[in-house]
Amino acid sequence: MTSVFTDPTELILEISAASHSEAWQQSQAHSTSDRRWCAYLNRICLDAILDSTQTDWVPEPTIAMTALPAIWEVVSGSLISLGKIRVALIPSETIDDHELAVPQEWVDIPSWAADYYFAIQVKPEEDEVRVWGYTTDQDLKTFGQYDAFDRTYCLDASHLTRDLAAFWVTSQFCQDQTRVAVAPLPAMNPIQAETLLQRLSQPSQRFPRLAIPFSIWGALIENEQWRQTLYQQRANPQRSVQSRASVNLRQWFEDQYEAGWQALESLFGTGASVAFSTRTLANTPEVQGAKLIDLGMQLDSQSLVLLIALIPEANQMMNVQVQLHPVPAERYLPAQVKLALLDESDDLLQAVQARQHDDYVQLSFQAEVGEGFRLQVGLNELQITEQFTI
Amino acid sequence: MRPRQEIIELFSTFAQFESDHFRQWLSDSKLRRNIERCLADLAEPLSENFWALYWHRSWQHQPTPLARLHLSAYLQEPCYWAAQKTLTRFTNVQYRLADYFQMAIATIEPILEGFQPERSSSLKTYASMMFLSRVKDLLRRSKEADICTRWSLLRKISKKTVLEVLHHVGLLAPQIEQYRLAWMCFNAVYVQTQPRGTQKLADPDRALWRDIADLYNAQRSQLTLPGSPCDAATIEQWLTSLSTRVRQYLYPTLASLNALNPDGETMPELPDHSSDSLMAQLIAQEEHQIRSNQQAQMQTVLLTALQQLDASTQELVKLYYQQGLSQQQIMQMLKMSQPSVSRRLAKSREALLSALVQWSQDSLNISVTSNLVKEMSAALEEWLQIRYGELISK
Repeated sequence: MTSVFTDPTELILEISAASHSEAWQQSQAHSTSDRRWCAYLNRICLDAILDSTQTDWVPEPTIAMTALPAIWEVVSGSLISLGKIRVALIPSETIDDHELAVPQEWVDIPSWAADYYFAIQVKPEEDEVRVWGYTTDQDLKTFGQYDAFDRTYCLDASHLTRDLAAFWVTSQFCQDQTRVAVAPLPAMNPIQAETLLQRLSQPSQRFPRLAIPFSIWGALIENEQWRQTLYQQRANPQRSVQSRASVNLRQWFEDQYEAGWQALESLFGTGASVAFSTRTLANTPEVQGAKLIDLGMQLDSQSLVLLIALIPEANQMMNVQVQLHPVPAERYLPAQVKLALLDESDDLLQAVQARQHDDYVQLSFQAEVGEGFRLQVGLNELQITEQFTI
Repeated sequence: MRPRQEIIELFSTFAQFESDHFRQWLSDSKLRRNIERCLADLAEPLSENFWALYWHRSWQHQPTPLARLHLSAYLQEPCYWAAQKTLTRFTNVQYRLADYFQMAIATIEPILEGFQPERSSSLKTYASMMFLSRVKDLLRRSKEADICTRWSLLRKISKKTVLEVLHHVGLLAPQIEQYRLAWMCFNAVYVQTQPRGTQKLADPDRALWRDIADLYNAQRSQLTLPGSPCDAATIEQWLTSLSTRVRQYLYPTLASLNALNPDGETMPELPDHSSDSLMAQLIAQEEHQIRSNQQAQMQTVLLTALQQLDASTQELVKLYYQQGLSQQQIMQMLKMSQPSVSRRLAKSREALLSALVQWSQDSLNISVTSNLVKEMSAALEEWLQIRYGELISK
């Protein structure tokens, strides 16, 4: 196993057959095969490092992060603690030892930042995990270069310490060195999070960590609950995405919108909305709300507009009109797109499907105040479901 | 190989090989004239170490070919030493002594860049160590690349290598970005689906290339110049040529031995500011003296620490560092398992480094930082690889 090239300065750990199969089993619940492979490599790496039969580390290392599969669904790396010292494990399969590329999450998210960063080569075919170098957070920030393309901090190998013995001695002698504080990320409100989660859960989002500005992304995944939600929605798509919260429609009369819904004027500006309302709705509605629905790659990243108009009637009843439009730039809806109305037990009440050149499709119904219903927008196998309460 | 002694010879002659053996030292007339001129200005003779540092400083301030060639001539022995060590340690029928020598001397620039006089005992010992480790890295990389197909190689190569290759080929920034994105999409789609890589990943088929192209087209809005959508054939072509170049880049190129022989090249005469830099160098010489004393103290600390280890571990350290045996050879000789050998060597290095750091803290009154430990680790490595070995011959 130890090849002729092994240096006593490196730390070589063995991967047992049991470790392989366990890690593989634990890494299956992910959205795509590359995320599965990433989780597998990270799991092997972490298990090897924590294996006390191979590494007699004092103090014993412990995992310092929660919801690891949720992390590995979107970014590689993990975090361990050795007493007060936090070490980020950065595994990869690269064979050329040219640099250490640390994803930005492990540097700029305050609760994820580490004191040391380990450069690790995982060799599954050779049953080997090789820790070939490390750096301190200071050196990474001083000598590392930030690459905005893939949002990593990259440190040339010439700045890495190749001798793991130096890590041990440093950790023994420098117990009290404090890490440079990382600025906290701007707080995120749950509504914003909800919208982002729905958007980033789409299978079309192959690189969610690059899709939105980092400060927003970091705030989203730093929160364990949101991170878990994102993971669950991505990993178990069932080809449908459902909003967790029920949208309270009555609040629209008080000009309060939630979960990605907006007054029509806010979404498209007064010019466009005038064109919408005169073109589409027969009676003058009391209130309207609109939301952009993203069916992602199914529609070449085109969005659709789901429009709901509410007209109060006598006896606590509400007349609801639902329309599905393309965005103002487009003339027609994509063919085959479906709009469906379901009740709270998911029974289908009404459905309508767009034909080749439809401007919009529409459903209307009456519901009692306090009743709930669901709307589904679907194309091919992908569906998005929104839940409402009158 | 006859080791050189004279200053003029040291800085103006190169090793010539004939059918894998050292044959003779070839002199370069221009270098020789330059050295003779420098020496003529001085009243008293100065050590080879002084000149090594002088030319290194000269090269740092003005990286002229002349300075580099003087240093290249000087470092022929360390290079030879590294080539020999490589030959004995790594039995590889493909390469011979002259090849290893060539591989090593080709890495001289980064070595000169990395040399810090305050930290090493001498340029020669630093270079010896670095030549050896660089050739080893080269061999390891090419060995790992050997067992890869062109596609698995693309998966296992660093981003830095990819970018260097793309620059080297002469692509402009927007194109480099496109290739990068294509490579990123390739890595997201062409993935192992079995643990442990038991099943060799098949080459990408047409369907896979289409998936990669689709992903590329969906993502290309993030490029500074998105360009038009790419079809599968284009993506395949890009990545095929990238993988070819990457493989070429990883393998040691063995240019002809005469490439280093500078005769025939016209070189500018070095402008004469020898006097001020000589003065600076003389001062540095004094600092060097202080460092030499420190080196002697360090040696004592390390030898003492070595004796604290148990007998079999001491034996192990001797076999590995002094006699240059491989871990496999040691394993057979001492009847130990390989992990056991590795672990003991690692532990003994920790103990030695600890002793060195403790000594720095106590005698030199330096507070311990991660940087200090890093420096001590480099000093330890130098001592183990070079100076410890020299102790037998003395």
